[in-house]
Amino acid sequence: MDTRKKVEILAEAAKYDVSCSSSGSSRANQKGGIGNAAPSGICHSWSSDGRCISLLKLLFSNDCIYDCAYCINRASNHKPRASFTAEEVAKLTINFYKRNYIEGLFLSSAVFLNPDYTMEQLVKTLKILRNSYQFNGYIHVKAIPGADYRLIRQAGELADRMSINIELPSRDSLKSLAPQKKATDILQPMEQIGTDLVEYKEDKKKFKSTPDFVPAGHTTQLIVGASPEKDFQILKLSEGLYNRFNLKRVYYSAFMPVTPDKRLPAVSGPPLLREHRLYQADWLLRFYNFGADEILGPDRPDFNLDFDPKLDWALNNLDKFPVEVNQAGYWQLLRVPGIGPTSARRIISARKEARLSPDNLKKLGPVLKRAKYFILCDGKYLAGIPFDPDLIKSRVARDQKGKNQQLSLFAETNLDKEQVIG
Amino acid sequence: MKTYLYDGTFTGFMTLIYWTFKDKVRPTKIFKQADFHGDLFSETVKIETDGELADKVIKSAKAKLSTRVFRKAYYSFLSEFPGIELAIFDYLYLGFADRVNLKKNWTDSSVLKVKKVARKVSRERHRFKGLLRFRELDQGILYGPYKPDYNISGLLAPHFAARLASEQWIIHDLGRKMAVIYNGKSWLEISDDLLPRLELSEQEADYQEIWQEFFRSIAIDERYNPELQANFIPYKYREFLLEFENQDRRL
Ligand code: SF4
Repeated sequence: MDTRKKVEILAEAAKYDVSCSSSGSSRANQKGGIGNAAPSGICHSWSSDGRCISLLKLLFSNDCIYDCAYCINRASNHKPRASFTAEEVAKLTINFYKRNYIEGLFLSSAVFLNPDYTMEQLVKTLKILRNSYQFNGYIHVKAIPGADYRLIRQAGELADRMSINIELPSRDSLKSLAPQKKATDILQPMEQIGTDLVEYKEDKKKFKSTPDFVPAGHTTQLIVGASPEKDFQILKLSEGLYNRFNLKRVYYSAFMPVTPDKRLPAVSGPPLLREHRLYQADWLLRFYNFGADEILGPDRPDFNLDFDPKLDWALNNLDKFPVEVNQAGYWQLLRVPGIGPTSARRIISARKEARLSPDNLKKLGPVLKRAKYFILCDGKYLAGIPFDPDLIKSRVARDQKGKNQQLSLFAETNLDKEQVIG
Repeated sequence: MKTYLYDGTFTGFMTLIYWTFKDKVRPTKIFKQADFHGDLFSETVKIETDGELADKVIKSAKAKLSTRVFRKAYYSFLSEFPGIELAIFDYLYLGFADRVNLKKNWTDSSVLKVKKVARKVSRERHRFKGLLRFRELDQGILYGPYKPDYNISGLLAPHFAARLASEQWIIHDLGRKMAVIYNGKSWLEISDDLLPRLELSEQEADYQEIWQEFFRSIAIDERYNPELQANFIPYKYREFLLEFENQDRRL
């Protein structure tokens, strides 16, 4: 089979992995080598679904011995099968990279023969790239559940980012939908990677020769909507992963049926809005100092699809508002809908010079259309209505409705903010 | 009323800054020599480009203001927007004379303009780090044609010189008819009639096809969303992107 045909099969098979980011690493080029990693990440193209293409995303093989219900590559699915050789992937990566099609490689694989053999092939590919071709561009590699951790560690020393996909957000769902994969085969290496990340960094301080270990961190992916977990449960899981396993990112992938299976729910289309809300809430966890319990709870287990989670939180906590922009601290400002990190920082630095008036405030970049309901500026409430919870809720709802959100809706998560900041 | 003329280069413009600051005059207008078609009412001053004086300005801007401030001036200059020179003059003048922190100045219109324009240029530069496509020529030289809005080739060069350090490559700005060439060690801006003959390598067509195949295969049909795609990658950028239609094997 020629390379083109393999790419057709093995890119198609890899496309459901949503992570594409190439950010977070600053690997420098070496003398005689090719490539480097840009810390802010670079998008090279956007496919017709509007997703950024940054990495050559491939499966090494789609010839899987397992039979996970949700997966297009499951053994019982009749699909053309193909496998690359390590040299083939390496050569393709270099040639794509040279032409500036990509930032690097995203290499995953189905489990073929057995987990160890699969992991060995991935490591071999990385070795050829790093050692023979002296490639210093970005590499994201999958750790194969069930593979010997020593192999995973080797991969981690060669890659910039590593990930193991949990896919199903609970043990029960894993058991029913991915019966051959054990939860421990996923969670143990994740935990170990999290520990190694810290240890390698410590060692590196003492011994210069210590190699980098996944400098861009490790990530995972959760499928949303293939199993019955509520949003709250998913968000709690993410929070736990960030706190306990040192995860860099959790990606969410709206479930779409690719093979018929009676264990799976019937859906008309992928729950994209739900996925979007998860990304927004995840953002609040990582950068806004929110806890999962503040955003959702057992009594409100699912996202409000009408408002984004921050706005929703504010509307449910109106007793904490309005806040005076001339006094509120950074974290307090961040909780105001319409104020993000940039405008919060600007507000704080500008008010050191002079007390902020409504006019000055406007120039600092908050979205006042939103923020006005939640702030006082120099003692004035700018919303033009009394501060009355019911009135505010109905005004906010009206503001939301007028907008055609269609286009911008999925832009935010896709942008992967780290990537567009130049 | 004083109109200042310079040769259109950044070095020329920095020389202009040197003399105007020294003489403490604010030009009424600044023109590139080639764009100036005479003016009955104002006195014109022609600036003789001087590398050493320009260097002095650059060095002291970096030292006294900051490299960031200087970079904003430089980037906004590369926008080639009519009238941007005067805004840069004000921007630097404010920085040197009043020693206000330009970072916090949100009110001066020249400061705002320079910052805004610099951001545009910077954004385009970032964009083309990803969107420039090289084609492999028969001697292994990589050739990247494009038509940027701003004069960013010199800003892209260091990026590719670090990344494709051992390769030879050409970045060709077709709109400005200029190119940056890199020989595996250093890069140089040249006029594009000095470029060698361009002929694709034997394997180039294959890789272009594989790339197009990858581009097709990686899209998820259930998420088809061409508006979103167009948001990120407007049509004007697609002319040289091999993955979009009708782009087979072209130079
Ligand atoms: S092991 Fe991975 S590739 Fe194989 S069926 Fe399960 S999810 Fe799919």
